[in-house]
Amino acid sequence: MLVPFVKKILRVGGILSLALASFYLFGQNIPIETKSEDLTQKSKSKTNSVEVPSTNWEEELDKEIAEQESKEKSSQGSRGTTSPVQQRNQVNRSAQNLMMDASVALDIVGAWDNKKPRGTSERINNKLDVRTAEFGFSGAVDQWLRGNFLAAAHGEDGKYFFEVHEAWVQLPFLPFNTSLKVGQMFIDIGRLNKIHSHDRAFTMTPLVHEKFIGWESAMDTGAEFSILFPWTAITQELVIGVTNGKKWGHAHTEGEAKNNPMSYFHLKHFYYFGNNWGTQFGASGVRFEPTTNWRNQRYLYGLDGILRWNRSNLREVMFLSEFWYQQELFPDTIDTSTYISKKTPSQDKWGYYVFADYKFHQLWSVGFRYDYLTDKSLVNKDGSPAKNAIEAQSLQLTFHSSEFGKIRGSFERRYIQDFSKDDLQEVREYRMYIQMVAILGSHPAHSY
Amino acid sequence: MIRLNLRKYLFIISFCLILFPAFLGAKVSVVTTITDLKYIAEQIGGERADVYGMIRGIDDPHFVMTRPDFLVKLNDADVLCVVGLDLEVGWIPAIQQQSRNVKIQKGQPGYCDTSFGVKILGEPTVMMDRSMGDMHIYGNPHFWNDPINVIQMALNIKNALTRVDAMNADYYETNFQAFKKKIFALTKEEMKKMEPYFGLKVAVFHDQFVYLASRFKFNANLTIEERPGVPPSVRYMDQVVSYMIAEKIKIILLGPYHNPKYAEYVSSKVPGSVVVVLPVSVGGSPEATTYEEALKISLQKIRDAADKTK
Repeated sequence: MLVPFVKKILRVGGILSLALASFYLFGQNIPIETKSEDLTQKSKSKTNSVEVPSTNWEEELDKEIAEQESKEKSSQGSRGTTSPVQQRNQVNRSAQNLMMDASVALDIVGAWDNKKPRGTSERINNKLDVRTAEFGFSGAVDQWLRGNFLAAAHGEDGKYFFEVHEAWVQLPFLPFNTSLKVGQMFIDIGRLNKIHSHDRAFTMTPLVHEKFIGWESAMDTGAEFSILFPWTAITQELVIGVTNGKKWGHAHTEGEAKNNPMSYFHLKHFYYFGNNWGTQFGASGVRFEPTTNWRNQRYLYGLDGILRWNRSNLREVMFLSEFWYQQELFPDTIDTSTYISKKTPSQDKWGYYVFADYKFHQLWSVGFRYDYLTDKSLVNKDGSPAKNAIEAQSLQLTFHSSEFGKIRGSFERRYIQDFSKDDLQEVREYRMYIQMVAILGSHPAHSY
Repeated sequence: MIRLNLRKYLFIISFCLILFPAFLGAKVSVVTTITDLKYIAEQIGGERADVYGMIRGIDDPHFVMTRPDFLVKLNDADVLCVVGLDLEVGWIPAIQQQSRNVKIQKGQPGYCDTSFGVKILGEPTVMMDRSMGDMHIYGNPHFWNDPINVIQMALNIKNALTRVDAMNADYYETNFQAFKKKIFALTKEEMKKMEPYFGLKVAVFHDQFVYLASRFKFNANLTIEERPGVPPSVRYMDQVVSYMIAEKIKIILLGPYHNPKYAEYVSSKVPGSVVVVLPVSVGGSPEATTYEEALKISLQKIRDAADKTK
């Protein structure tokens, strides 16, 4: 009985002594580990002391404070929107442009006349309206191509019609000083046609342009080739274009289904007199077949010229003029009783406008335009040529709020004479226009 | 038959003999925007470059007509030098694209933006919009008024010339070193003259003298223009008048192409103040025929005005 009891005590004692021994040993180990940790710390701190050079933080602080004081002194009087002292690199949020230029142009026009709301295509409805709201994107497609997209919504009788104005791709760096543009575009004829209505120097389109081309620019889809001649005495550029020719002017339809392309050219010259006086003048020609009958042909011949002088954006003098002659040929008619072919007389019209503008202040300019248009094919009852003409004189005042905004007021007197009619042979109208143009975003520089 | 071939070869050889020296002797065609760039390019390019400056010293580089005759010049150019930082954004990109010359397009060896490496001041600290006027979002572009920046600009032009005409690299390097030495000496000389005027406070019409002021240690932060490129309102000009009187600022600086009437209005309200027109660029006044002269005249005018208004 005793032996097992002793054995039990010995076993328990052995376990306890082992536990005590291990506890002792654990207690002995703590300083060893601490020591090793200390060593690790020291080695770490040694490593750090090698990597980070010892610096005089007080000197650094003083330098930083001195720099701050110096900048503060140099910035005195600054409004803080720009920094007159060099800053560390900042994120320039204004410079983010998505690698293309985006713009919106709003053209708001109010047009009134003394007679009545006319509701004609001349857009005179005795009300204020958004004439066009145009948005566009342009930029380099890659190293060879440039692209341009412009779309617009036109206000027409209370509704807005969305349409693509321009969508073209250009190869600007072809050999022999040439370039090629392909797509839908405002065709390069005359002075005004390439200029969008909000960018023009007057509110309403000149009579001759409106009657022959349309109240806005003539646009079509095709290809336009341009060559810049290398001579320096006078600058010369020739533009030749061929387009589908299914529609004419600024038509919003597909046009006639026919295979008769429209072709045109524009030869432009520029001469610099010196002292910021320069002139650009050109000649244009268009051939178009308005119907499916190829014998029905319309020819348009034009001369355009501009003379201008400027002193930065403070003063500017500009004289601008265009002359257009339109001839339309018709197929011969056949007398059904005699079967004799009879030549149909052509329709001949011509007109011009002369515009002068003087920017007498950085923000203000005053302008005057004279328009004339006549139709030489109108006849009296006896078949003799009928006297007819439309004349307009308009005076305008423009407030240029900046390069991107303007407000313009114009007054126009129009005299309409047509002796081929029995009534209303002479009409006088007085019109008033108000225009506000606002451009948001990037807008390309204007051509000369 | 043999004689005919011999004749043909002789013709080709003589043709090459005529053309080869012509190519060797051909000058590099450089087109620059402002007159200062033209002057620097002439100094670096020497007789081996043909330099054409598009505008005059009295023209405002912000507002230039996109004249079609520039297209022909650009079409023929080997190098196009611009100030950069969007100073010429209203006219250069349009004619550059229409020039049909791929050599001078951005990123090509012939395109030289002289703002590269220049210490830019006037960087926006807030998000800009057009209600603030014609702001330059990349910083103030009038950096050529600091002669030390002109050294950097000359270096950029030298590099562009070397890129397109590596055969004459040593020639351009020699010219650059000589120009650098000259400009550095001029800076030291002018710094010494300006020492008594350090800390001088002046008002400016347009914020275009910040680099000149930074280099020659005077303060030109007060602008009469309320917003860049926009005529100031009377209310704002009256605030400027009060500030000038309180801070004893009696000098107003402006460039030759600015409308002086706003500065004159402010000056008429600040007793004893003067309006000083600085040449700003080469050709900005009849005497400023070189960059060195333009700088000397500008600083002398500031010193004279400071003495007069003491």
